[in-house]
Amino acid sequence: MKDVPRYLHWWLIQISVPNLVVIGLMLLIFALAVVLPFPHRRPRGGAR
Amino acid sequence: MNLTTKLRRRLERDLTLEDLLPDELPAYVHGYVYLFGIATIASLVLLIFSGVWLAAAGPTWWHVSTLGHYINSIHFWCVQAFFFFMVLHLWTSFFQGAWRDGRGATWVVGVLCFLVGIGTAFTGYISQQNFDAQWIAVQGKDAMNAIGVGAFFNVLNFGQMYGFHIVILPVLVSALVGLHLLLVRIHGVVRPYPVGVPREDQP
Amino acid sequence: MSPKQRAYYQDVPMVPYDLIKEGLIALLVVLVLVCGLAALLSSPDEPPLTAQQVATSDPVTFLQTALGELNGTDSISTYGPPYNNGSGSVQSLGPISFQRLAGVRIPINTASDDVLGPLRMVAPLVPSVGSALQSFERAGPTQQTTWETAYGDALNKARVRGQSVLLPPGAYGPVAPMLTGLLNLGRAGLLEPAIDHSGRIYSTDNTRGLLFLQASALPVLAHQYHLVGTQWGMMNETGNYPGAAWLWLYTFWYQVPAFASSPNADVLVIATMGILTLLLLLLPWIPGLNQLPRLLGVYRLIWRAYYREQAAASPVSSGSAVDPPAGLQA
Repeated sequence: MKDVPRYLHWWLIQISVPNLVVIGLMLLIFALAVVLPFPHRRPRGGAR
Repeated sequence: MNLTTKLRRRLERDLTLEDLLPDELPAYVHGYVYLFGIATIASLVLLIFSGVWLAAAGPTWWHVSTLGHYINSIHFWCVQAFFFFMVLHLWTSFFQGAWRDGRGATWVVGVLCFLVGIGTAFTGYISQQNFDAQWIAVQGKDAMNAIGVGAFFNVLNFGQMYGFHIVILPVLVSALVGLHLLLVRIHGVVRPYPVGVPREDQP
Repeated sequence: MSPKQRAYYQDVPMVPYDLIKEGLIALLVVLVLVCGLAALLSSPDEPPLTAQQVATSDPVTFLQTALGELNGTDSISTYGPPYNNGSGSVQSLGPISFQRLAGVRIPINTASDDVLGPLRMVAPLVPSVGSALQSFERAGPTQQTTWETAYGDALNKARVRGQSVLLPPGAYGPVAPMLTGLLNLGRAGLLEPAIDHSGRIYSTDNTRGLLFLQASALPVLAHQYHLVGTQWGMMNETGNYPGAAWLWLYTFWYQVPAFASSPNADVLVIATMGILTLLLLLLPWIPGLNQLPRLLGVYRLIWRAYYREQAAASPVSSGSAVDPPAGLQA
């Protein structure tokens, strides 16, 4: 009757699968955002 | 001394319309990491829209209406998105040392946005009128009581917590985010850390 | 552009940018994302625990809680400020107790608020409860304690058959019919309204009702949902949903035995998090910490394209183009 997610245990750490997914996604997306090349824009020159 | 003149001259000097609504940015603003801030703001805007809808229909609506539950679900995932992007924005700002060159206040205001956001989420969880809200309230009261504020910020008082959540804290978060944005626009985007050998004629 | 920004961007190439378009695109992308997640995954909404459920499915726990509130031995009766002058849950940080300093500001007398008051409301409807209440209130404190103690001992040996709680024979006086009356009030779903309205018919303050539930069955249910402090509960959510993952460091300290086993756990954790929060706030001015980004070097990855372009543009004095104008260095 109670909908409880799966919990993973390691040392002091107990984490639910949904929370692990969120944290994993944060690390992944941050890493991708840093390393993936960004579309190039042509510079205009110095500040006007 | 005319205060109005003083403020206007300060703004004319430090916050031109071009600074406020730029159509160009330094070339080093280049990378997906620069999108986390605006994604956080987008999440906040949608939090407010969905929140206004929920408030307009009253605190019971989402428990009894399918549409209400859907709007609540949007509100729930906006909270996740808000913190998701805000933390990524925090990591980015940290790794860039974005407080440099006079941007310390921008950093402080940003951290305050984070903290007040946590408080807003806390009062929101407590306002749900379901089991999660009951438990968070009875647990949270021990921490509030322990630091002596439990009587003034009574987490078991739905009316008080709801008032904080739909009025006081959203106004505070919005004001802090607005100030954060103004500071970014006033100071411009922080330059990259210097690399390579400094020129001899520079300190 | 302001003189300050013009000087700051002095020798930096600028690229075209549309602030409003970027904002609108971000809004659209996040809107699609959250609407999609909401449609696919919905959101959690576990119904609240009610005194009615406790009275119906676990009447012995209900009665034990009610007795504790009547004789002033339960966790709320002995809690301390802001509810009363007990010391059961009073925390201090070293010699200072902010809790005590704040004082009793939400006075709760569990006996009158949660037991005798509601029974007075029941009395006109159930005359036997009315007369039991009169007998109890006419008796002296010693007699009342004798009845309460006998009833409490009997509850430990109670059996539940159908709707009835069967106690061994004993001298419980009016306490037994009184608390049975309260149990029936609970089963009718009327306990929370009776104890929450506090004399005002329109109340949005659930303090007493929630404290009653906490003293009875709420913690057991919370444990099943993994929401208890020592289960990293603060981060978790009912159902298969992410919770408040951003509270990970706050809830972490409750997993450390030195904190968790202390009677001052909450104030200690708040003090610790307060210090760490100050460090985060004042990071720009803390020597060493404010150099971490430079040492860690992730910035080299973030700005690698720009560094490459600058090195290609001015190969002889490499790095000069990326130094801020003199006087503006961190």
